[in-house]
Amino acid sequence: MKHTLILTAISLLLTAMPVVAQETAAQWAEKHSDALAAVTSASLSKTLAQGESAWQELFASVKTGGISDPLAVTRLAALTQHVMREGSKKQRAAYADTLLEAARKASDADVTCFFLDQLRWCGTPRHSEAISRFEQSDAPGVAALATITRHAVNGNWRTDAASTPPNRYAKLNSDLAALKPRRRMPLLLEAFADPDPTYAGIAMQWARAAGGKSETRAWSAKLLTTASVPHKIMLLDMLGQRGDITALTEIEPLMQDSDDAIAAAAQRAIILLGHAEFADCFPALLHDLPASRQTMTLDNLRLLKTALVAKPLADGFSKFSEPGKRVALELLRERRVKSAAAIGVDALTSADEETVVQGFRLLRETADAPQAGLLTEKLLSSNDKIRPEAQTAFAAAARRDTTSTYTESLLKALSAVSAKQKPVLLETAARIGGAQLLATVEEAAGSAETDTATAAVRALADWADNGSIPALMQHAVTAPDARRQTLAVRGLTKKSEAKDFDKTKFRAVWQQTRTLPGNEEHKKAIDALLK
Amino acid sequence: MNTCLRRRSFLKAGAAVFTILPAHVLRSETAPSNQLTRALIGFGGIARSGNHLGYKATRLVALCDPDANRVKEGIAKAEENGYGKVFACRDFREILARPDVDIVHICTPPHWHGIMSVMAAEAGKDIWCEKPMTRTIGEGRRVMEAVNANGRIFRLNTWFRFQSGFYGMKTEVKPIKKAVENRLLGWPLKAVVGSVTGFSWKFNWSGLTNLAPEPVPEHLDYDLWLGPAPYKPYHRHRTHSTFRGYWDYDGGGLGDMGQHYLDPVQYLLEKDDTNPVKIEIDCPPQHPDAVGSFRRITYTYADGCQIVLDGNNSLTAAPFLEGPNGKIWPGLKSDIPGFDNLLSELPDPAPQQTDFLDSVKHRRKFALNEQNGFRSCTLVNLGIVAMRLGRGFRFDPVKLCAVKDPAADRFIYQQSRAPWLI
Repeated sequence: MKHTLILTAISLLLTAMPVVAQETAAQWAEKHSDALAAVTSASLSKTLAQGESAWQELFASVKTGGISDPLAVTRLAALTQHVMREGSKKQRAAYADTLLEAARKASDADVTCFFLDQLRWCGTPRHSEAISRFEQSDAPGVAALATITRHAVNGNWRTDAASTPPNRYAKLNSDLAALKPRRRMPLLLEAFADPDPTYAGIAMQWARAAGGKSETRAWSAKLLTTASVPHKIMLLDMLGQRGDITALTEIEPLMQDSDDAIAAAAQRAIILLGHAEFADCFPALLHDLPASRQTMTLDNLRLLKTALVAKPLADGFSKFSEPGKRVALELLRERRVKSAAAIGVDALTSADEETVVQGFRLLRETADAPQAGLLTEKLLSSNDKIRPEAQTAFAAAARRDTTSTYTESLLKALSAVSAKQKPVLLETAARIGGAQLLATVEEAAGSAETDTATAAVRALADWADNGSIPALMQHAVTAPDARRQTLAVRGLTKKSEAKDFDKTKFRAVWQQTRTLPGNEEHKKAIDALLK
Repeated sequence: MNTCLRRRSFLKAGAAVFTILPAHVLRSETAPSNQLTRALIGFGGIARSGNHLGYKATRLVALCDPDANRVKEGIAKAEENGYGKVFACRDFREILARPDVDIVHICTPPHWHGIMSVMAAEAGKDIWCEKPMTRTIGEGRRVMEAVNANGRIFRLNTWFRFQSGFYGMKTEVKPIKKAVENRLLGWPLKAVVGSVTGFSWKFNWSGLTNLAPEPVPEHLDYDLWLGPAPYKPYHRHRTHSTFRGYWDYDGGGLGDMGQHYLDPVQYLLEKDDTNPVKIEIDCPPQHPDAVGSFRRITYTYADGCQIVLDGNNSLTAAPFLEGPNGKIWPGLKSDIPGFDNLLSELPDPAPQQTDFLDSVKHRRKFALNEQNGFRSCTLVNLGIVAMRLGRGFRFDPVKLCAVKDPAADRFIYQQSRAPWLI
């Protein structure tokens, strides 16, 4: 009794142990890779050739209660597949017979099921009757699996699946399928008139390919008489998918419909009819485009090749609404249409700030030497919101400018403007970099005007290339105020973290600067950066 | 055995569905309380995610799970999420019979996806189904037929072909699509899907090889949980969060992640209406019950395009996509000169229908639907078949069967346990 209680307690304890302590099949396979590697076609052929006694020895490894040797059952499963692929008819029949016999002899349901499952993958129709006897079993899982196996060996997949009485949707589909194509229209029209969008939607699926031009005319005419929004949208989708361009006349006005969803569907439909057709329509669309349709229209225009959109956008720009202009600007920018720089310039005069922003963004990609003066002026005249866009556009144009026009324009402005206006120009210079601007900014860093000098040191710290490092080293140690010194050290720290920072080169420079009297803490900090 | 059980149960409760209009048609479109409605079938981990429990565009009105504990959790979570008191039960057939349910979200293990989708379609419901679409190719075929015959909208719960960063690729799929369809890389193409290109095959989803039977917990209707899968003695590792490790319910890491990874690749390779003709595999022999791992699976299409699943991370220098004229690596890096500029000049690919609510209202096929979803799920299932065969085989993507390979066909087309026949 005591012995039984102890065993029961141990068994309960083992059951409660977390299952994660066991290896998974993948982990086990990794651990036993050599053993599994020996399960080859050659070794399986050998086992197959050895006949029933060898198979039964393997089958004996299948145990109840989940304690079968994993290698043995894996080998068994591989043998089953091997028989199907490489075994002769006789071998396959004999192997399947042996599986059947093993299933019969098994005293435990899970073992019976194991063998029935293997038979499922390799049994033949000849085994069908014997398998069907297992369908009378009361043992857990056996009868149901026997049914599955019987069907599998006979190659029946859908036997016994009861058919469902069709619902109205299935009935509509089958009624339409039963009609000759040219006789479908009356039923399609009737179905489309149904208030249920799902029912009408089935009609629209069929209508896509049904009939010819006269059917297109009939459906197009319905655009004027269909009140239900979902039905109208489905009708537009269908007309687009039909691909019959004669529908264009009725569809086009709906791009201006007061309902956003209908307008979107009309645009989609025309695009489906043809990109060239949409290219012809969209300038008129952009004249009155409301803000609520800006994103949708831009997304649709993005589907068109640059050759179809660039000229209409540029030619019609001045007549577009503000949202229409923003669409044009954004697309021209994305496509990097160089010839559209003039459009970008035009946009800068807009009263709409968002349009102005888009204008600068277009110029960022397209501005050339002729726009240098204007962009310089805009650096100084833009408000706080717009200025960053102006700077970005200027800097991008300057970086690709090979004529130095932008650099010279900036230098000229720096020499002419008041101290109050210098910081924004210095900040812009930092984004461009280069030796020519560097000399002027270094000079400004020594200005008696504190704000100008501070802005210049900040610019050196943010400089686009490493040319500012020597100056930064000097300011970090000797700048007359703590703020400039700190800005310089921070700039050096950031630059030292860049991939292209050449410590060896700058150590030599630092050795000289280090000798200057000044901030000892910063000297140590810079020593550490150059270690 | 009552093989018509599922039909009769349904008909008893739901015969009226055949003749009256669906509830949402009778409701006014304008009143906020007349939103389209949905039910969650299965209330495990994934059901609690943003696309199912958290999806606010439709109103949650019902849920079910064969585990009574999960039903209780579902009721509480529904209320927590602002849906009030929802109808809750254990048997999904009660959900399908309800005329106040417009859409069902199928959040069960994959062995249920096929039959539930078919039954839902026949019950007049639109469907949002978890991936993989079905456990076998045969079931997938049946789902396509049922969805089409009943005019339903069907979507899968994966989205990388139309939104979001594509795993370790550090880009969305769209710019890659632009490059491919404008033939910047040339043709045919080869895609490598493995850790070097930013994808993990999650071989942790592997089953245990020896499962000593355990008593079935009282709160779990194990027979209903099993459904169409053959009966095997209960062990907790078979169910709930570890079912992926067993062939009867799923296909391990390949089953879990395959459709997420391979559907966008299928889209990129313009293969939404076909499948590979040759499948090759290198893997250890597989345990008959517990899913293991693979080293490599290679799919080859009729036009020479290939997809390589790198299971053992050996293709360390491989680009994600390679053609005769160029390659693309993660981060949209390419060896094509001026790649960025070339891309910027190209038009966008054809738009995709990505608003499920819009799909249901206006009967527009969703971007990832039962047709193209079937094809990408077939990729997954072809790999699983090869693993179970322990070898490669040839496939006919039109007839949807193996080429002169009855052993492969037995895995492609599998009967279910009665009464859950498909």
